[in-house]
Amino acid sequence: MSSLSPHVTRRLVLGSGASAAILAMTGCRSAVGKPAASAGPRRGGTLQLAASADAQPGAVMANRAGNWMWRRLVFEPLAEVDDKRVPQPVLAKNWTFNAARTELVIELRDDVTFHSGRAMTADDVVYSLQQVQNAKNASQLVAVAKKLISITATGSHQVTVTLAQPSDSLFDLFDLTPIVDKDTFAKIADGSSVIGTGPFVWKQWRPKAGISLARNPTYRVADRPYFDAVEISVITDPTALQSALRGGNAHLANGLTSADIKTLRSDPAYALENAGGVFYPLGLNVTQAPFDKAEVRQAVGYALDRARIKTQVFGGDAMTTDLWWTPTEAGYPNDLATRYTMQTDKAKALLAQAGATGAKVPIAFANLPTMQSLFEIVRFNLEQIGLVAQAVALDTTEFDARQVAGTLGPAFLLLHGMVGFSAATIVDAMPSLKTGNPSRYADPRYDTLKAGLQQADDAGRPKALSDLSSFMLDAAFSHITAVAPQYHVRTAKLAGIKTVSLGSIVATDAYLAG
Amino acid sequence: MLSFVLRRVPSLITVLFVSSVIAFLLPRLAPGDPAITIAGPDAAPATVAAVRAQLGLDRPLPSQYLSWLHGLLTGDLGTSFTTGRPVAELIGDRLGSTVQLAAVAAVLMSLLGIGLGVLGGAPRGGLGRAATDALSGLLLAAPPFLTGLLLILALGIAFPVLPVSGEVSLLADPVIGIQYLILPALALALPQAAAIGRLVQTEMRRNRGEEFVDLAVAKGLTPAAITRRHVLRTSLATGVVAIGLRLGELLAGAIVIEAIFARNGLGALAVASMQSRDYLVVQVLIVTAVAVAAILQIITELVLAVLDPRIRLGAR
Repeated sequence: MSSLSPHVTRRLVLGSGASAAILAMTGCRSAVGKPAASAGPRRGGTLQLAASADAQPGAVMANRAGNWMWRRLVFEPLAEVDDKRVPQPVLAKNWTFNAARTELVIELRDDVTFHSGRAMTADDVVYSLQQVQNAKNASQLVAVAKKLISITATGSHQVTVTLAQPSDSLFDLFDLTPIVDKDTFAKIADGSSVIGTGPFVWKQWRPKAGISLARNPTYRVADRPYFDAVEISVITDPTALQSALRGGNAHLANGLTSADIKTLRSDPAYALENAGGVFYPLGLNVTQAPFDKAEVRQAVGYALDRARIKTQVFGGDAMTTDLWWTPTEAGYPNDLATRYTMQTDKAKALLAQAGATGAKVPIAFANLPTMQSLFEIVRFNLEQIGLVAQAVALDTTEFDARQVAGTLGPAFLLLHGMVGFSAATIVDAMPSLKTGNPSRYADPRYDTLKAGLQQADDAGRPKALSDLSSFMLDAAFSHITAVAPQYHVRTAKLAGIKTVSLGSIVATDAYLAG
Repeated sequence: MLSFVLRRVPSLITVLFVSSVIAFLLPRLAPGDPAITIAGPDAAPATVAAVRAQLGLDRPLPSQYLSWLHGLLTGDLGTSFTTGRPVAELIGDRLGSTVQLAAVAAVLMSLLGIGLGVLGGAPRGGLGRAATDALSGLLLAAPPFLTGLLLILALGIAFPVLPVSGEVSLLADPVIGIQYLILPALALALPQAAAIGRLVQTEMRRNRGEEFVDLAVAKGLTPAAITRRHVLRTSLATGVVAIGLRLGELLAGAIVIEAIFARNGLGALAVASMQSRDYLVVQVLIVTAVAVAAILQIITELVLAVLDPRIRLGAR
């Protein structure tokens, strides 16, 4: 002790030693180092993705948010529908319809192998399409798939599908359906055997935590993908999602709040990827008063202030329309899109005519910020015309349970991420519209008009869509309040990434640019 | 000491049994259904019913409980409804993350807590005392999530010196792993440390008025020696009790901190499992949390007896 000089105290020595130890331990290598970036495409590196929901390998046939980050990296479809709604081949080489459009012959690529090393054949395609027909696999397009009356391997790399009637939904089905390995699909649910044909190979699933993928060295496209690996982290907290992006731990994230997206949109270090969009309908149960009367349902349509919803709920980044279809749809009836322009007096008159003024209307909704804001405006609008709206805010899980059981009550706010599907597909796939919808709406004329749209050819589609739209607007069992885009947010340095199939990302050509 | 531990066993078993009943019933009281998570909100009721039957959720509750309890006692924790993975594997994968976070946070909490207590309890001028009081007051008032967010903004985004998202295991890479742990552990430890510091500080100030301190002063000991040898040691028992009690709170706080820092620990697993109504995972986590709290309580009593000779384990 006495050897220490009077100016070098024990405290100083201890402090210096501790500091040196910490520096030695943490200073050598930093966990916040920036990954190497380049001006053009470059091989190597790890793509880091942040997903707001956990993966559900067992639901790979369905469009689920938890599968967006890996589904199209591991699996590939027969074809994908582009922005102009033109089908582009992926695992299919080409296809030919017969004159009546009831038979389709699909020629498959012959250079595709599964990650197991086995070559993909027509049998795998037949098996995959048959899995969509099985309700257990939870595809939103099960009704579309069931219209295929036969799926046959007519060659080692040729598949023929036949339909009872022509269908305009076939390529939505092909786009959404991953081609799976028939030998291992039964073991996919627990993540132990996730075998696809895509540019990345499924390595490890840490349930509710993340997924590790590795580059597929035998991918059919030469020199692709660029990244050596993909790490997907499940981050359910919106603040943590933003921290992951800003802190450099994620190159792309989904599920950020609209407020965070607004902030990041104005920052040049980030860019938004359009990931489809969401329809926000107000459903009305036609078997429960006061919505058992069409006048009351129509009055609700005239009461809604869609412009205010667009501004206040979605910060102006939404589309106001009365229709359930994507505006890029061929034959989209623009003249009908504003049928229910807000007319409070007309709504009051309709309500009085039906004797429903003062009726109490419980409105069920999932207890999410967007739905709460939406409800507040809907409540105000309904009270303006003389209805008494009551909030039934439900935990998301309970809301889903009630939706399945059909016990949401007389009115409910829903959300459907189906922007991008054709109208012919939407009438079969959107829960608000399909047979067995939560509004309990059923009418043979409705079924006839839906079938007419699905069987229409290019020339007949505009009229078929207009007729169906007009009928549905009169029936008024579901009112679209807004159609809002949804986004993935990426760092500006991440180049070559694209978003397809209602939100799934494709990273075959992705790399970190300088 | 052994007899003391043995005497605690019956009450420990009772606590665990009651908590197993509560853990079984609580998740089922919440509305919702794991079958919906699997089948999807668009599924037909028949599909959901088939999934429920497949999961065994259509059986009477007592039968489900007894099956689960039997599995628990025989080491079979069951299979997660939503992931199809064994519950033991899910928990085992996450245990390391939470243990590392809690251990580093516990060390920081103990060091900072006692350090703050000593700073506040040592004789110093009015300005120094006001500064330490203000610091501990500030830390006490800031909940872990706020501390965490401020640390992320300051050291992760404004001056990016430490990672703010994700994790690397200390066992896999200690150098990188500790960097991932510093901010979440600090966020978790600081409010608890302030509370411990307050207790130690109060106890030290009280002990300074005792006669044995006057005697030490009369003997000519330096103020530092009096603090170290006499005041601190007699005041530490309070701190140890507080540390023992707050270890449980650290685990509870880890739920929030793991979410903010995107760490995949048991807290994050508990939240995700509750959201998807993955009953079996939630049940095991609740029972485990109760068991850990009960065992920590016993360990605290043992440490207290070692520190303070006036406390006898055998005393009734």
